[in-house]
Amino acid sequence: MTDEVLYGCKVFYAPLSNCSKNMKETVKLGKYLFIICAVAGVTLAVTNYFTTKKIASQKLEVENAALKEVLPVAFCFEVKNNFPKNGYDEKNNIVGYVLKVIANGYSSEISALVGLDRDFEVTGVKILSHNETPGLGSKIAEKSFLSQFIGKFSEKILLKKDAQAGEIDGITSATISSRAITDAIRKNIDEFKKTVK
Amino acid sequence: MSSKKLLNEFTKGIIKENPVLILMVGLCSVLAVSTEVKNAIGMGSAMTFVLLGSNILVSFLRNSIPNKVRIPVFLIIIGSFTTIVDLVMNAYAPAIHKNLGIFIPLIVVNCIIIARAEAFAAKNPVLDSAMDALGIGFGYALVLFVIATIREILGNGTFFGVQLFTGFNPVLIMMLPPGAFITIGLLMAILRSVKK
Amino acid sequence: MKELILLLLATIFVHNFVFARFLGLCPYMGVSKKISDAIGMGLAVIFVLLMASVFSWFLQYAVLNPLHIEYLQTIVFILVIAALVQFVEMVLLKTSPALYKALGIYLPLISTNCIILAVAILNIRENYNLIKTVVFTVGAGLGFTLALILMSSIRERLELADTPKSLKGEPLAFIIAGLIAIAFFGFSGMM
Repeated sequence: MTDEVLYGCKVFYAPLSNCSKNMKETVKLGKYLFIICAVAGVTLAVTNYFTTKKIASQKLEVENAALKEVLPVAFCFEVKNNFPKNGYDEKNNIVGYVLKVIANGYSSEISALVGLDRDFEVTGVKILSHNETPGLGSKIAEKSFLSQFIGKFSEKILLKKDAQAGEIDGITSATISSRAITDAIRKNIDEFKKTVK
Repeated sequence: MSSKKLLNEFTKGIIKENPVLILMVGLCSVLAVSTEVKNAIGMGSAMTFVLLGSNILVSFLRNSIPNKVRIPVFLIIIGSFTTIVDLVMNAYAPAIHKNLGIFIPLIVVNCIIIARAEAFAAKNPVLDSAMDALGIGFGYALVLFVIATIREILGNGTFFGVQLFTGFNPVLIMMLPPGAFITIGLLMAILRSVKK
Repeated sequence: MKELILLLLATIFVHNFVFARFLGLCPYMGVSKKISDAIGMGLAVIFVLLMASVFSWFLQYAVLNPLHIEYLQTIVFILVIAALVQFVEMVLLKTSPALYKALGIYLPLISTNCIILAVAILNIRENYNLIKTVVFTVGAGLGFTLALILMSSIRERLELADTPKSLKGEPLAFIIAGLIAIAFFGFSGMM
């Protein structure tokens, strides 16, 4: 680091306030700091006020878009803070459900949304977040892998190499990631079925 | 102030005192954010905005800030601009805000901003300080852009999200941390040999 | 308990703060030339990290959240960190001159280290409770120290080697960091 920058870093650290021999001086310093803090505080409060609404509405939009992606037949969804959520049509009839699935992948937690119709057949899967091996495990987020789940019931949601009944092709060299999300989806659907029945 | 001098303030931030490759500050953000050109431009703009705002305000107030509390005052000013950028980006550019993540609030600890405030803005008139800020900001954004271009093209085959080649097998490691380190090391070496 | 140990190991190796998260690089480059410097810096960082993280955690949940002024987080945290480092230096000077002599010179560099602010903010973003905060913070510090020690060991040897002029010093350090980062990738399946 050059001298200037080192100086800059040291400056950052320079004494915040020395013991003022002068009470008057302390008060003057305090007043100045207070004014600066007040101005900063007000500016930020105002900025915050104007941006909060936009941020909240955008978050809602993104969430709804994701829900619609996994359950396209639904018109709107149950408004609550946790999953599972019901999906409704225009006449407010339940047309399906959306589950949030968390799986322990190879190198990270995988979170996904799974859409089900009223017969618990999968209508869509969307990976929300993961940190699997790039180029290998990360392929679980691709349409080519996820589209396999659509139209299947939980009995068939197994890797082909794990069971006869299984109909899911794992990703080459990424068996652990594939298996993790597949098993998690199946288990979540089975658990959910029990709560609805 | 002569326009030649102002121009000089601007250009010195690009090569002679390039914040990333010569002064080596703000490295954390540069490496983390340079995976895509889109993110790099977002970060460069955010950084420049904070630097510009901070330099102008500090310069404007330079005669009234009591010496003993100048550091907390600088921190509050820089922190405020950083928070403004954070909030505004979250509202109007949420995708980039999400990609930049924690590195937006980390703009406040970028040594160069406070070093500039103390060493330059506190002692120079507003227009000079503004040009200085723009120069440094531009130098920073430029390096970010170059690294991001290299990493995105080699590591993903795209530029600004647009697929460039077909049948190109990307060099995945460029998109990952090691690629960042190696790219910046090589760029630094090249700039050093050019400076000589 | 098992969860905490996994968190600790993950933070030190799998998501190492220097090689995987790019945090703590500025002082890293400046201080990683000698092994003794590296250890001193590492210890100082862990110390400051712990105090800063815990203190800012309390501030967030006791003051910022209840009053709904979360947007002041950046300013409040950075002022707290700067003040804390000042305070630590004063206390160190008065209570243990020996320790001050060993760690004191690194303190100015630490307050601008993005790793302190980053860990403080991450603790809040990941919604860690106090215990996880402490574990995560210690892991971050240990990972950082590990990175410093690795780099300084290599750089000490490199000083004696014959390297091209433009690569000498920082450029080579970065390339080496890149190679170490590749090696650390091997930890990713550890969990």
